[in-house]
Amino acid sequence: MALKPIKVSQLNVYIKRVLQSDPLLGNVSVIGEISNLKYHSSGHIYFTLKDETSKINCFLAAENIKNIRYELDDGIEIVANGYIYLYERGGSYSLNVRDITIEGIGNLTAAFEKLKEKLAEEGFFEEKFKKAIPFFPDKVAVVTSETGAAVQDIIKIIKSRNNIVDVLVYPCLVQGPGAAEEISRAINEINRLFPEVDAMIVGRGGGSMEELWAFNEEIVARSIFASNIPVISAVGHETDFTIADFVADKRAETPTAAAQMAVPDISALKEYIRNEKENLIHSMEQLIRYKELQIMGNNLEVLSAYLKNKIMMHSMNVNHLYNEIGSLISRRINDQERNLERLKSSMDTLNPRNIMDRGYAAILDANGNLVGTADRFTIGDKLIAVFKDGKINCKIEDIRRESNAGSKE
Amino acid sequence: MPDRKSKISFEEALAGLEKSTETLKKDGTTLEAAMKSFEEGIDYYNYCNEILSNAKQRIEFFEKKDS
Repeated sequence: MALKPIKVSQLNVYIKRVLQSDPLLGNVSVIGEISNLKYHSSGHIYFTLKDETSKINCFLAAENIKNIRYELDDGIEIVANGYIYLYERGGSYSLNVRDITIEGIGNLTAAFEKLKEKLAEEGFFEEKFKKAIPFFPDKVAVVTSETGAAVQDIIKIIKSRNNIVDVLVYPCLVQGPGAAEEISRAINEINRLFPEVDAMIVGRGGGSMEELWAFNEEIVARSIFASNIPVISAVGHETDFTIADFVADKRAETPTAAAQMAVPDISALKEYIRNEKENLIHSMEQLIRYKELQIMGNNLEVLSAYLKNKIMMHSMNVNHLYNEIGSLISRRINDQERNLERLKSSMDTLNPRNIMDRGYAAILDANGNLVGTADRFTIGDKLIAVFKDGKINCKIEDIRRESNAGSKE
Repeated sequence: MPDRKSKISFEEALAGLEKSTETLKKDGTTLEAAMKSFEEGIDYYNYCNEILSNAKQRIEFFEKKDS
């Protein structure tokens, strides 16, 4: 039954025909974890899908990449849809991928983080690129589903706050395949067709991560980043963070919050300017009253009262100084008197008469000079002895010198 | 001033109103400067008020021509 030997290429052609005519292998979805992810310079992507025991090579052609809604990364589990293709040259087969879906919070989060990282590197989230949301817009655009709750909420809030601003709703799909393209196109078109729009709200109401996914797609991020019109993102609830939120000029926690952010409250503004006007009038009145007082202050009566007052102040000052000087002088006199008293008592202790009370006499020579030594006298000299109660004139008859004291001289 | 007013934005007019009030409150403003600020401020107020009272809102849904 065996055929005669055939060439390798003939065998591969045959196997290829068998594989590619199989209806199952022509459209198959495979679950597996990405590994060996490679972006080729040709634009094609190569990777391996694996499970615990086996693996298969996968090929994602450049022209199919635009359909892929996720940033791929090693370790993410995906469902790859495609067909089995055989390369005759290598005799190997691979899964030629047409589309990829990612399920589960873990895998979606991984893809989210991967894209976030990539866009961050490109500077998409930098503060310097954020545009200010105009305070008083003439026209705001809303990019969201025509049928969702978000558009109703946004319109309701805008109308309740502001009856001046124009609103342009640009309806688009906000979930499922193709939603990201529509959102992206809406942003681009508004920039192109309605450049007068002051700000746009891009968003939708709450939903699962899968339902919000369009706002995590690169194409939406790029349109938001490229938009000349400031973008307020408003996706889901306050706990939902999407890539769109990071790129947007401003993130609103909910569509309702976005509407509040986008348009000012007219009645509050009216109140504010009314207040400012009141302030203006009040300040003017105040100023006029002040100027009036200034003018009144310049007449003669006021001036003379002012001068009288001034004179009184000065005379009070003089009085005060006069009193001060009097008390200073009497204090000075007291001090001196006390000083004198002290000197007198110390003089008393030194008074020679006090010594004379104890029996001493002072000796004066004939000229009346006080002499404290026997040395100055010779026999026959006259001297005067002074007692406390009288003087005696004396004549020296004899001198006995004390040799000790004398020899010291 | 009234000619120029027709072209300025609400924000500019509001800033003008705030500045007029500020100038009036400042110490040492001359009566002449004060009168000028006051008149300008009232003009700005009237202009702001006119804008805020003009309920001209239009809400439209864009209709795509292609599909």
